[in-house]
Amino acid sequence: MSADSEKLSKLSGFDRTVISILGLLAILGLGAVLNAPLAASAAAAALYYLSIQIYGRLPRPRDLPDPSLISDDTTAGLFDQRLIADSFSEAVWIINSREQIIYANKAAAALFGPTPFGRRLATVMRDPAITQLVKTVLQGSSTEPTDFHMTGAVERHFRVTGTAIHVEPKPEPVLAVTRAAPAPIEAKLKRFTMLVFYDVTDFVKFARTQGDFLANASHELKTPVASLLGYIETLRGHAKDDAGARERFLLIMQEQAQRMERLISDLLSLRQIEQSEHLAPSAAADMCAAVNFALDTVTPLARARGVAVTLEAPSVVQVRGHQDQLVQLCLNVIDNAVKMSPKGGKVMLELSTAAQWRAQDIMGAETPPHQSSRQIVSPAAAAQGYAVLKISDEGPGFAPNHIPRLGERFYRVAGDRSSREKGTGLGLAIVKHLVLRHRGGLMVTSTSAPNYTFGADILESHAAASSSATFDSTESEKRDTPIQTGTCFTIVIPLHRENDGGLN
Amino acid sequence: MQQQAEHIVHGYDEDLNTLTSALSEMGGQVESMIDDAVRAIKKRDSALAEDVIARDAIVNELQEKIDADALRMLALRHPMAADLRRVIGAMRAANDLERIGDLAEGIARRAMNINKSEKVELSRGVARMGKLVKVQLKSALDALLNDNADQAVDVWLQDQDVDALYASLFRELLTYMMEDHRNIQACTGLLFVAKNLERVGDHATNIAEIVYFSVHGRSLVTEALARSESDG
Repeated sequence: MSADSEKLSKLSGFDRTVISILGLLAILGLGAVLNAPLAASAAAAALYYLSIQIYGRLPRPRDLPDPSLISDDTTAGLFDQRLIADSFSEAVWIINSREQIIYANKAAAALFGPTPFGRRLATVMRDPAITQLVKTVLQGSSTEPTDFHMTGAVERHFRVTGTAIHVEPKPEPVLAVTRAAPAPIEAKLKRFTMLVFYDVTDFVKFARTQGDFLANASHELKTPVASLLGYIETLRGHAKDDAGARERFLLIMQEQAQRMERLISDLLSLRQIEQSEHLAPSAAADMCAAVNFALDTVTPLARARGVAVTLEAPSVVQVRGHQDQLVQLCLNVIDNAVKMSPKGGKVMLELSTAAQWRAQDIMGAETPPHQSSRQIVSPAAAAQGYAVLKISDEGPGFAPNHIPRLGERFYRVAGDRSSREKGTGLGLAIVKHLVLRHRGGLMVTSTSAPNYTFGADILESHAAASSSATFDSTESEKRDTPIQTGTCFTIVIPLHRENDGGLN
Repeated sequence: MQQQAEHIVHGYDEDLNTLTSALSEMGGQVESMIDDAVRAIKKRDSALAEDVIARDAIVNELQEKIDADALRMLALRHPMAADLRRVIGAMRAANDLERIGDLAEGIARRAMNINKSEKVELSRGVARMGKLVKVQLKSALDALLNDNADQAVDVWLQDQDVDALYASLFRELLTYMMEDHRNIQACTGLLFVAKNLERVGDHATNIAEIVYFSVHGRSLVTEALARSESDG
């Protein structure tokens, strides 16, 4: 490029591009018999030209700096078009006229995984709108950008633009050199589409969470505020001179106000996590320190409730994560486990590492009776392995009908009056979103007492009413033997590895 | 079904790749139909529902194309072993996808009905189920297009989540109906939608079984049964 630049300086920008493309073709694709490298290099050059036209951040070809500057090795490297394309934060794909992917920049590889070069776009990206966009652009019409969202555990939204790139096959010098390449294919490769994926998740998320936050906050605060108002009215009215009642009411009012405070802080942190959810953390964090810190915080509560908490963990487990958020994550699950435990119960924490994680390992086809399990979040594939944290308690467990809804915000298990501390119903939702952000996984396995379910209640009342041997003895024996109830949450977080580029 | 096929006869490869392309296109179409149908309920958007209903024709056309292509390949190329399973798998998957398209159309028709009544917040559970089913369908299609048997097993196992959610939703909607009989009309509509979504989940499971068979040449159901018997 640098050698050509002086000669080119007198030509117009477009001519220069064409010539530089041809030069590149000649340099990169010279002896190549196959068409793929040729096409890729042509496209890369075209991308370079177009990107300069679009972004304008870099000098246009006619404003090339002093040749002496470019001859410097590092500066010349800057003008390598692949390097430039790779430095875009937007994902870029180039599609040839046979709708095959022939080029992807670094951002695209990070977003969609290893690029399946040569595969047809329709088999890689199933979205009909994008397939249509590419078809239209290849036919030579211009189109409006289309919206594309990646479904999955973490949703991402993109605005996709399609731009036509025409590379004219200049006759003389190139044909002489590349005579070996089959001519008809060469002719077909004239038209390309460049797809640029602009990440608009932030905007979409912001608009949505803003609305959700207002709706949730106003809905959830309505009840405690109404009750506060009721007590205030009573205090101003007929309870005015009753010291005993006043004291009692003030206590209730304080509890309500504290609940509102917890609710607001939970909602705020949930919103904060949600907004950064699509950006996976890339730094290293120590899972072990996080668990220990959370454990220290929970210990006073556990002691007060007579719950023993034990921890089994190696000294250091480096994961890819955000230290404070990991602490929050551990704090929420451990706190939850302690609150679920009966007096004298045990909460067991186990931290270990695993090379790989498969849902099959925990969710076998055969589960013991009264036990149900669910993968609330499935972890992203991570070649480097996972840290696995298991938190088991001896609480009453969740009945099977509650399992599918765990992690949903404001979902509180109905009839759970055992815990004095009324939760906000957001604890597990926060855990779920933290795990999602860390591209980890969250599993729950729970064993609950059989009479906890609706059906069994009816059976029992029937049995009591008939008070005879309508049910055979084995049935009732089964019901009488105590079942060790409890819940086990399993959290897996991808480990951190040196030179880890970070996933998205 | 995705590795670029490599056979001595170039046309054979072309045929296989075209089959995969059509299957992928069909999958994408069906995915977006389910997505839009659920959104039509969530956002009370009847125009979007009509759009979904119109798109069912595209899916039917694609199925006919896949069937014709597969038949032609069977007749002309006599595929063997993995190729044979692949071609048969494509036909079977196309059949499931066509059914999913019909179910999406059904949901869209219900949506237009539901949108005539007042209540909005009742549809939240259905939207959640829609999201879960969408993820299932996406994973099944990803497994199909990448020949990923492990992912297929995951999809197959997670179908119980969809079933459990359906049961829980059923109970929830029943409660609304008992609470206020004016809810009955909307809730019945939502029940049908939930049932349709649950069936979409079943078809995703079918596709997962097809993938497993296409990759290993063995039946996933039989193997899972054998495994659970030997375990317990």
